Amino acid sequence: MDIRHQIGSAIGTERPRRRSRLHAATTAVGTACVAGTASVPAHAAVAQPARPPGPSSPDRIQALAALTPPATRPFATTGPSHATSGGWL
Amino acid sequence: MTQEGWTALGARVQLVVTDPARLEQGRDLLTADLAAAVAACDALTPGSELDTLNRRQTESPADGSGPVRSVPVSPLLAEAIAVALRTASLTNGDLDPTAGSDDASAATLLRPVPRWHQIHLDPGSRLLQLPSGVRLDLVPTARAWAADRAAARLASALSCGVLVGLGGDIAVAGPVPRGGWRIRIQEASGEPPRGPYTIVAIRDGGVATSATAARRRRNGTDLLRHISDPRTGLPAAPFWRAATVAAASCTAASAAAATAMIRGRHALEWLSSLRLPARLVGLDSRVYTVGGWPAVAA
Repeated sequence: MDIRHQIGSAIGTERPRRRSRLHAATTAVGTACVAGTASVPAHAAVAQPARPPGPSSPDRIQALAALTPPATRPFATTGPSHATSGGWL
Repeated sequence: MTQEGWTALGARVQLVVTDPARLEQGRDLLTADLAAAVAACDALTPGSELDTLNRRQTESPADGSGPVRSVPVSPLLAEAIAVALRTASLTNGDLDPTAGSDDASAATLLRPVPRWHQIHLDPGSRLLQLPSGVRLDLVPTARAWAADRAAARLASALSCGVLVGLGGDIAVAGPVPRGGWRIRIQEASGEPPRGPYTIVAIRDGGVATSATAARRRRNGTDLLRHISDPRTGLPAAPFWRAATVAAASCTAASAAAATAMIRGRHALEWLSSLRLPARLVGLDSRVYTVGGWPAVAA
């Protein structure tokens, strides 16, 4: 299997709108760490503190009790994406 | 950024982690995890457990009229089958793990499609009861299940946030990046993808898209046969160009998206009843959203 991975790094683009550009530039440092992406620019932000296991924990998968919505609704955003969902293979 | 050669279950793999120091370890873990899933569940991989099981089934009448066979299966295949059967139940058979198992000959299409409720799996003994001649096709659920499973396992092993994407079925687990996991929703056309898109952020669960434009074939087999109507074995009448769903897991999101494609005009009502955030694109490119799917960011 020919596997070629690339690891990139970039400056995160997430910043509160009310902050000045200068302030944002000095605080919004992100780290991109992506493997296996094909063409999508990936920018991962600084991780927040760990949370309890989410809905995609193994127990939940095995149960798959129902087709339920996520705990947190998706919200609109802008900027570089981490991944793409386009229905392709 | 380009990457070649890394596919699993017939899909391109995406891996993102929030801790760059964990990326290499995560890649190795994911590669091994997906290889195990392929070895167990990919019917299109010669010699896989499911391929072997299906080949033995071809020795019997394909209409399911033969005697029921009891077959012990591995823990991984048992889990994949359990997910497929549960999904079939939740979608009222729209995603039938026996649908699409037959060839596309006219004779095949004229006979009843074997139904998922003919299959029984004892989770304790992992003994699968399968009518002779009935083959399993886990394509409708295996990718999303594998993404969920891998994301959860990697997040636990790496102690960081993880996103695993398999052909557009995306699962996330663990700590969330600031601003959430940003997912670009776009119908695939070209490389890199071009055309209109929207970006949403999720914090848990998964996102999946089914799209008619994304049909691909591998080894002569349509990998998106789950967009076929299992009741007829024929492709579902096109009503949507694409359906994207966010759910508590990638498995649920993928099942809902594929089912929406099958249910056509009834999909919006069905998704609303489940309160699933979803974005559907009509054949005229008009976009419909339900379940609190976010409006496009300014």
